[in-house]
Amino acid sequence: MTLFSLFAFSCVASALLFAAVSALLARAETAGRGDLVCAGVAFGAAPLIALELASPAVPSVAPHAMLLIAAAAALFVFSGLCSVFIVRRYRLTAMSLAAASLVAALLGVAGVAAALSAKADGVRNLVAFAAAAAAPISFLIHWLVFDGRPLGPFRHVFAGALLAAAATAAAFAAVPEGGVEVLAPEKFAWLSAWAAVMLSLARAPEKKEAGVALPAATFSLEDLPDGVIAFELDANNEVCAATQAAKSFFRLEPSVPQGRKAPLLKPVGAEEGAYCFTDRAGSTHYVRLRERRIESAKHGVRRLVVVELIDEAVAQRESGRRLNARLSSVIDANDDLLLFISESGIVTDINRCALHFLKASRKECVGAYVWTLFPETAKAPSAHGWRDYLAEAEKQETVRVEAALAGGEGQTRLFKLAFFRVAAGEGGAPEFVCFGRDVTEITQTRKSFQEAQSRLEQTIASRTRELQDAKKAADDANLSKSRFLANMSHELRTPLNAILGYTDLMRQDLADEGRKETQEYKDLDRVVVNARNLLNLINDILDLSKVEANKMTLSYSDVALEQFLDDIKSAIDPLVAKRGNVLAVRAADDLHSVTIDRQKVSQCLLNLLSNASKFTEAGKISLNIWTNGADEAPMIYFEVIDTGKGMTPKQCEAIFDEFVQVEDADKLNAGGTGLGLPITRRFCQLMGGDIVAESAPGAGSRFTMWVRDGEPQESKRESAA
Amino acid sequence: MQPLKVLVADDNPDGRAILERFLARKNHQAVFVADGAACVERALSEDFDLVLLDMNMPVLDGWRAAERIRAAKTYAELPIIAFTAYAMQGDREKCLDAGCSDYLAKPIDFAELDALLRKHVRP
Repeated sequence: MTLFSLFAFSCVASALLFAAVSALLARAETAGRGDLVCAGVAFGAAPLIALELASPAVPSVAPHAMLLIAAAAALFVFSGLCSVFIVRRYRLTAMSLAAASLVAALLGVAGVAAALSAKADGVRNLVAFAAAAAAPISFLIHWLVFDGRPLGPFRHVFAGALLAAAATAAAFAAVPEGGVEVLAPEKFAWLSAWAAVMLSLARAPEKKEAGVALPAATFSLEDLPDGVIAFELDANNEVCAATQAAKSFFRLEPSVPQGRKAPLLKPVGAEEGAYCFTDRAGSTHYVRLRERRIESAKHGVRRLVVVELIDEAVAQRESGRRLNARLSSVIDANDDLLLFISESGIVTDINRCALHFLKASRKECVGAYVWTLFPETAKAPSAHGWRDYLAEAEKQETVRVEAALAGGEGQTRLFKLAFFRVAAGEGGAPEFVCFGRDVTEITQTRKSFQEAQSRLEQTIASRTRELQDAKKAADDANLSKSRFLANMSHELRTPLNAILGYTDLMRQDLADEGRKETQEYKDLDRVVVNARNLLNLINDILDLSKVEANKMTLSYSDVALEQFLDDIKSAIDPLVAKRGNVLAVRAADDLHSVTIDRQKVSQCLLNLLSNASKFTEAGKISLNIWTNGADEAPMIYFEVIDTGKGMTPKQCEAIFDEFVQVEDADKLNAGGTGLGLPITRRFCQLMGGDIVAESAPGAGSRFTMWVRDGEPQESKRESAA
Repeated sequence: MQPLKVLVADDNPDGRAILERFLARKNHQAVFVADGAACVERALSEDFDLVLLDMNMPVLDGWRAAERIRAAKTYAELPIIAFTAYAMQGDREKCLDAGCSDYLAKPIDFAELDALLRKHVRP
């Protein structure tokens, strides 16, 4: 087995070993994997080199001594690993170096002691182990001499070689002449190289930093990329050099960068390693500083400061903090209950309002199941119910329910709950927000409003019923009025029937007996006349009452005028002839047919004609008929003119009032009731017309009445109904 | 004019008495009843030349009595004269609708009644 193959093998093995270790270390540390591999290679190689150095003497070494050597080498490797681990874990450069060196030195001594105890070719083994021990010892020296300051690769090699040479020289000094051959020149070279690598690794393990890599010791500020803010401070803490970016950022004069005091940077409490700087414009910038000590022959020891602007990050964090503060104050100030609930129903946060309602502290509530905070009641949801809400909120956008929740003092309030899912909580598990709005008052108000409304509706309904009842009563009253009139008519006519019947029978009896000229017969005549008058009076009163009660209905029909006037004429002729009068009827030539209530118009005309007959002696009575020929409101006019004694203007007015009759001695003989003209006027008005009288005492009278020719629309409807 | 057999229905004794005397004077034979039911019974059991029917009567009123008499087909042609104190507008039509042949309003006018008897009696 050659030395090279052994070396290659150990490299691979240790690389694998350290790959595993570095995987562990890299998780918590920032050390690069390359560093760890290098360390592994170096430490793995150490025992092999030691063995190779000792190989010429191997046959003379006892097997158990070889085992001890191997064990010592393993321990050495382990101690190296530990030291690396300690260094990386605690980031303590000087201390860890000291510890590592101490452990290595102790192990080296242990190795030597083991070799000595083998008592075989002790000198050569001693040399070999001394060489092996030289390396760890060199750590200590290295640390003592350089104080852990960073060194360039050249210096490491140089220092390592120096140390290795010193160790070798010591070994030569200790061995007799014949032993020199064991340290062949190539072996010496290997040893030196190994020592150099060990030394370079013994540096303080560099933390891999994000951003700009700090330059090596031999660097110039000009080597930094554009835009990097960096400056160098001398021993007096004054700026002696600065990058262009640093000059403009800190407003350092480009011509005279030297001699400036370090820019005034204040630490920011909330951010570790952060400082703030207020520029001349008054804006505050946040920076993070990284320093490295550099040394050069030209300038001596300086400190390089690289400034990283973290305004945005700080601003983001600040605004995040502010937003959080705002949100939590809003959430707390809210009058609604607000709970954050995990998927499993555990309250993860709760606002002040909810705490106030529960009369509980945040500590008591957070971490509890929501259904333990709001125990189940008849109206409050059960644990199952709460879970259902959450499950539904997971599926839908928002779940809204109404629930009566019990508070800390046993009071129950009605809440309108809204559940919705918010951005996933830790580990991607869904989280829910539950808003609870107290709707107790609103619900009560609404309820009382609804009650009031229904009361109002009931009132309206009952009023409507009352009105309907009242209307029905009025209708009934109207109906009973009609019935009353009908009954009145009937009841008055029945006795009149007896009076007239008996009187007539008596009169006929007297006539049969030939006693027509007796006073008795004449008296009976008067009874008949008065009974007939009474009957007329009754008829008139009933007519008037019907008009007053709006019970008078019109029944229109097409009337052939000629026939109609003939009927009138024959009806009134006896009365006209009675006082020696003459009746002349004249209708307009174009007038043949009219649409009127035949019975009522006839009654009106008979009234007028009988009046004319009664108050005219041996005179002339004229009836003239014409129309206005209008399309819109066709009217038919009837004019009754007599040559009687006439009336005063005052009388002309009064005759249309009820129960007024022209004072006249002949009144009783005339047989008027005084209701004829009022009824005529009412009838005419009912039929869309009117009546007027013109007269003068001794100059006769002229009555003109007019009525609508044609059925009015409302009358049609009435008759249809 | 030949003597007639007249059925008179009137609940008013005076009304009956007056008609009794009038019809006797005219040599007519008269049967008197005081309510509508009796009127229907007599009218359907005997042969009358004419019925004088009051409307406002107990037990059965004149309108229904007229309807019942008319309902019996044998008596479809029997003259029934409504003789009533109901003399308001429309009363005449009501009586005719109930099946009466003619209408005469009270108080009585003997001349009119005599004219109606002549008009409706079968020759």
